[in-house]
Amino acid sequence: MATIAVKDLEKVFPGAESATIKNANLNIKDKEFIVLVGPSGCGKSTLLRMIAGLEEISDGELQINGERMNELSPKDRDIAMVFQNYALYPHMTVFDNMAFGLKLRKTPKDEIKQKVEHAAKVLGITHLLDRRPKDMSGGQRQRVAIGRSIVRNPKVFLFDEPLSNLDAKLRVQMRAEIKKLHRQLDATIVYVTHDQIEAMTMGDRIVVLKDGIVQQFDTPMNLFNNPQNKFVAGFIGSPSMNFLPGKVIQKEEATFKSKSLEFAIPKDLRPGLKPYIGKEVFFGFRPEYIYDKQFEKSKRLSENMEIVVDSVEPIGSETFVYFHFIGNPEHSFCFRSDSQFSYGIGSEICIGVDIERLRFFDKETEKRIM
Amino acid sequence: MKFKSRKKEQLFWGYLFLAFPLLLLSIFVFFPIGFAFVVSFYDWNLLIPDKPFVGLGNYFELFKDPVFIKAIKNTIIYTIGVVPVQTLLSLFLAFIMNQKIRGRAFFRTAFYIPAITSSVVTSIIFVWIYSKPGLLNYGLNALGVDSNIDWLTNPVTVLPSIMILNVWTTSGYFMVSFLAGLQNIPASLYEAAKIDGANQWQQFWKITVPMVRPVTYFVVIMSLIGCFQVFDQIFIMSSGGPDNASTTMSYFVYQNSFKYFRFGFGAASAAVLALLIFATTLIQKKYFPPDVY
Repeated sequence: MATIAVKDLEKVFPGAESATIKNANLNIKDKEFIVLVGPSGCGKSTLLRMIAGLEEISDGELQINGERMNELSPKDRDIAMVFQNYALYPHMTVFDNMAFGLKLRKTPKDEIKQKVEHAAKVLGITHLLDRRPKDMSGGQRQRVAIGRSIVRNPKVFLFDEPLSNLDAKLRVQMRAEIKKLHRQLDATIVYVTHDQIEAMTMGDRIVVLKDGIVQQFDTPMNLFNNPQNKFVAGFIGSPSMNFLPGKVIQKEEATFKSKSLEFAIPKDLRPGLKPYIGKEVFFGFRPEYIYDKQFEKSKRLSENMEIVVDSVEPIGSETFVYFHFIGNPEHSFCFRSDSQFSYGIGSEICIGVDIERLRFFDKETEKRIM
Repeated sequence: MKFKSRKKEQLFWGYLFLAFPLLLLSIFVFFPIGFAFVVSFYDWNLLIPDKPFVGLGNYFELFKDPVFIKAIKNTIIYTIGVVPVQTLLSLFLAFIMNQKIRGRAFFRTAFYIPAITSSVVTSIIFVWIYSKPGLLNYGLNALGVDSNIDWLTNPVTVLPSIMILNVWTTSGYFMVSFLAGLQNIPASLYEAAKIDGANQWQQFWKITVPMVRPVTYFVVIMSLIGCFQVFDQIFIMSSGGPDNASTTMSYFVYQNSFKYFRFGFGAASAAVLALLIFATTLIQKKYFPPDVY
């Protein structure tokens, strides 16, 4: 039962040259799972901490359920937070860690007991209630930290990179558990991560941040398919999108021309690119949408592109093929091939990109053209 | 074989490095301690050549001596008065110094200066402050409290006065220990506590105090030992007077050994003091262990 509205939010740290968060605007709906993602130093944790009340808001307004929160201290915002290093109280047992917030709020003893035990049951940590944090594994501590946040039944949950200290397998498991918990709790969650896969798999909607600026706030699939700029396009997806700088020129028809690659721009894209004739652009194409012309006959593919294979990385289900266009060995690209095809290093092949998936970005503004 | 010889070589060098300090300690610390213990069983007087063995005679005499009983009482009062105040005050100062306040460096230095100033100097300053025309009476009068007593010659006020001086001189020293302990507490614990709803005061009692427990343990032990052995301030400010109102155990030891030259008797009282310190430390270790998380 909580919406969060971030309006023109700014954060300038004292003595800093530029703002850490610039003019952020977000409207988070009730019960939404929002992920803040971006490279380190992009301000995602700062934004979360401003929502939590751990960082002062320099400018703009933060509302939870339509009420202004700027001046309220963390305890009055009815939020809970899970920290990256768990921040469990080392001198308290698991039970006391979870009960601390309730005790401070003068909750009756038997109610505390019942709430803590219920939360422990949900998280499967009932057998740990008497232990101290130092006697537990990272995964167990993580559960306790989550438990501490859910006992108070707050309106909003904030997660600050909660899984980054766990090993890969546990991370995948906890990812699913947090999602499940989200459904059970019916709560609004704001979750910070630098891992775009975590963001894609968990978020209802994702906020992509860079240098304190919100790049795009959208659903995972929209970010992937319709990135608004080159940064989002390159950040979302793994391996990331390939970019090739070049120019749009007019021959018999509009053509993309770079040092090594030249192809006629497909008909449906020509109107959009018309204003860019004679201008510099980035051609973007995802590794997923590159096909070997020898094998793929059914899709509408772009004109032939001649490439040389530099290296191959088989990961089992598929193979990442790293290549360059003939005549331009400086720029290396990746293509995701079916693992049944094997390519020798140095072999020359002919590929095409799914016409629907060709992307072009303005070189100067890096905004997406098509 | 090779490994074994290397281990032997390490041992050799290890003991070689230890040998010199061990020798010094043996001559100036361990031997005198043992010798004093032996002396305590003799009626050993510097002015009398005859030094008969008296067994526990000195010890029996000690506990019949009203001055010694008073010295024990004073020492215990002194310790009970000083240790908790000193520990809490230094923790509190450290907590404040650990906040982002203006002039932090100045306050840190100001609080630490008494710790590095010679105790003779601070004692003499306080002798003036506590004297009849001194600063304390002047200040009290200015505040409207009529006060005209000589704090150090009044049997009721002499001990508390010296206790206050001691708290002042050592709090800064222990503050530094606490500061180091405080800086080891992760900031995220306070943030978690804030979100859990703890105010400043609750953060101090529920997070800071338990988290610095190992430091507190160290501070309390050092402070206890310091109080049990308090000597220099007493020697300079009151000479144990008036009427032994400020005679502590170390002062008693000094008086009997070096004023009356009754080394046997003095050594016996020193042994009792050592035993008292030892027992207190053991009790603390047993009932208030330094939990490290």
